[in-house]
Amino acid sequence: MFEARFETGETLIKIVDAMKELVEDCNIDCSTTGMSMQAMDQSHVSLVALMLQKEFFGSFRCDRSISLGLNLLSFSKILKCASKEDAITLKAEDGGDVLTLMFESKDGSRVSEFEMKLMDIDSEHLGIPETEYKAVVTMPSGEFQRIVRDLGIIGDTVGIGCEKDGVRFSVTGDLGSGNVVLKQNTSADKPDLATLIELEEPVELSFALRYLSLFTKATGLSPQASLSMSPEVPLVVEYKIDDETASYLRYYLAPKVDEDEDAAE
Amino acid sequence: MGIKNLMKLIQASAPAAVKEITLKELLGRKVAIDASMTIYSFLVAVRSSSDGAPSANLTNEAGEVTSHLQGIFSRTIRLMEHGVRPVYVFDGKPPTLKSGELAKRKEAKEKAKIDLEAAQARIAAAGEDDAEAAKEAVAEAEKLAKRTVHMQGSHQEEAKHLLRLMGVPVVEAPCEAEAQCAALAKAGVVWAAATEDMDTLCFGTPRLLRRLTFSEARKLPVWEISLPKLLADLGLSMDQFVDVCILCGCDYLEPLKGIGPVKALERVRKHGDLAAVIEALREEGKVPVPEGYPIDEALRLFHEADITDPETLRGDIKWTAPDEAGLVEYLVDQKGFNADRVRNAIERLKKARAKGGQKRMDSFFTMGAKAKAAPAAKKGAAKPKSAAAKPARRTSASVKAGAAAAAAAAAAAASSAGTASPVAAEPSGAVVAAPSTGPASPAATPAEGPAGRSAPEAAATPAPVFFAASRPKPAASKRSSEDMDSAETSKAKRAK
Repeated sequence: MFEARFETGETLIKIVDAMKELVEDCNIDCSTTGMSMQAMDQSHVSLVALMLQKEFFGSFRCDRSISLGLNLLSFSKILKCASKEDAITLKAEDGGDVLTLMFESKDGSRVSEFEMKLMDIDSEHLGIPETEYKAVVTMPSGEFQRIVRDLGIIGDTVGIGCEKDGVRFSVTGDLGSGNVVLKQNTSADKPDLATLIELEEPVELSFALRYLSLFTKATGLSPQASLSMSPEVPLVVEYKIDDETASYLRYYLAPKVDEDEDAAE
Repeated sequence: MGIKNLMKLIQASAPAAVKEITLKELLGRKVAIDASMTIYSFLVAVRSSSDGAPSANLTNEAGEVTSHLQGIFSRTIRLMEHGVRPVYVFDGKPPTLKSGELAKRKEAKEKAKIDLEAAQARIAAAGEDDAEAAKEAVAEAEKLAKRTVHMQGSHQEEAKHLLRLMGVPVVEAPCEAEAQCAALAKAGVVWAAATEDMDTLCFGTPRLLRRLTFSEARKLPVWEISLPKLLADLGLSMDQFVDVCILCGCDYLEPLKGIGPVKALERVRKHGDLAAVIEALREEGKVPVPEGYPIDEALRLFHEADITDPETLRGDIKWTAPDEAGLVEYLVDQKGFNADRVRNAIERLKKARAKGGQKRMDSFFTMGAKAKAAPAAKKGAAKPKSAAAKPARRTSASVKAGAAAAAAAAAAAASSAGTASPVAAEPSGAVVAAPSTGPASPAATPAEGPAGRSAPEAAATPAPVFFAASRPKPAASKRSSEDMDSAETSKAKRAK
């Protein structure tokens, strides 16, 4: 038996909206520690990892580990039937083939229940160990979204260069070129608006803006987004869903490598 | 052409080995394409039709056929726009054992030619008076015309010239192209072999892609056939699988009367190998086995195919910028292509090339066991998913990669996966203190990605998981942390 209650259903809706354009079908793994999900986009260029610790939920029960195979688009459609303030409870029987969604309005006057068919999904699970990154930039998530949107007008590949005092996003395209520099900025009274750079060594990498733009669908989940980078490994963009319980939504993106540059080395 | 009814057998007995995929999923993948097969299919399929007359191959003003060039040019660009990196492999001399099959094909062509002439005569005779009869004759003539399509050496040479101008690598096989494609895939030089010819599986390609160069308009998904999965599902060893294929009837050997794929599979399962099956058949006497039925010869052709060592080709397989002026000169001036279309296509080709730089997630993170095998991931723990690693295989792959660091990682891999094997560290001579504690060992550097690639079966085997966390030897780990493919390409460029 699995049962998990989101006190603010809006969070679940936002999570699903932040994943559904990248991933069609996925397995949500439920265990005694919480709910997690990992899936790649069709081209295997990016990966989404969700972790919701059991403490994050209003109530959580999972007797035996189960995988819920979901089509995210259908899931999102059903979630649209909930109001923002509703509490949402997910339920599934061991070995069952449906997921039950229960929406309860805040005052308890309205309760709706939906059942969604589960699917058998043959997913490829990648092992991602915890890594120390050479550069970690934490910035307002809205700022990141804006940079990605603005630079997307100019070109399709963004160079992200991280140095001690700032991070530079640069792009070149048919129209011309552009760049945005964010400086370290620690405003104590408004921590949500701070930009922090933790740097071990300068890093410069290139990424496809198309994917970053899909990542920023998660902007509503967290006031801050963090970008972790090391040379020649995938970028990690993390949105903390709940800081206290270490629940997060993370996106990984494989870098682009200039092949001609390779040859010159 | 290939193994008779093998695809039907696979779909019936091992359906899980066939996966329908989209071109999108092949982003960044290197694929060896059987050029002869592809050119032939273009000669058959790329035709213009005008009202009433049977459709004909595209030609330039001088009457030279250009269907194959049109096909290669547009489909190659389409593949590259999806990020696929094609390598075209051309046939060399056919093996002598194939002569029977080839003679038969020639005979069929001759017959089709005679029938075609008859049909054309009927079209003329029917004239305008009998529209119905004329229509029928045209349809028949068209069918027959496709059968008379004959690929000439010049078609192959023209295709090679075009591909070289496009900056797409061309490999000339000493003998059969599908054997060379399979060897390239087996060695990890490319990710998969792409052909309609099911022989390629017998030659040991870990992955076979079918319908890759089909027209988009046909809306047929690409089939990815996995050899390890196929063998596992059929419950056969590789040798036994080849035996079954020979019994089904291949290009080299006529099938026996009364033995189809199902019987062939049954028999090999029952008797163990081909020689035993033949012996049993002779004893039973129900199925006539001709004297001197050359099974050994056929076996040898599959097991010891005449190929160029894939490792020597690794350096030559690279994608370069297209020769724009050369393409325009060749296609427009010599072959009569529309100049605007060619220029547009070149622009698309240039854009597609830029896509090649995008790395895939699985060149950094290794595929673990299926999600269900492990409880939900704990935060941040690097978890070997299974202890069923194959230390020996991995080691050989790492040593090939030539980096001591890689061998160290392999050793660490083995130890953290709980299968600590001293063999792992030895071949490279590196002294490694493989940490036997926690799985997230700092010495565990990259090697995994490329190692998984070079050992094709490794992808199907649950493997422990690594990630380029720290890099004790920057130079070495840099090479191995990247996709093996690009590392090799860059090496080749350096050498040049």
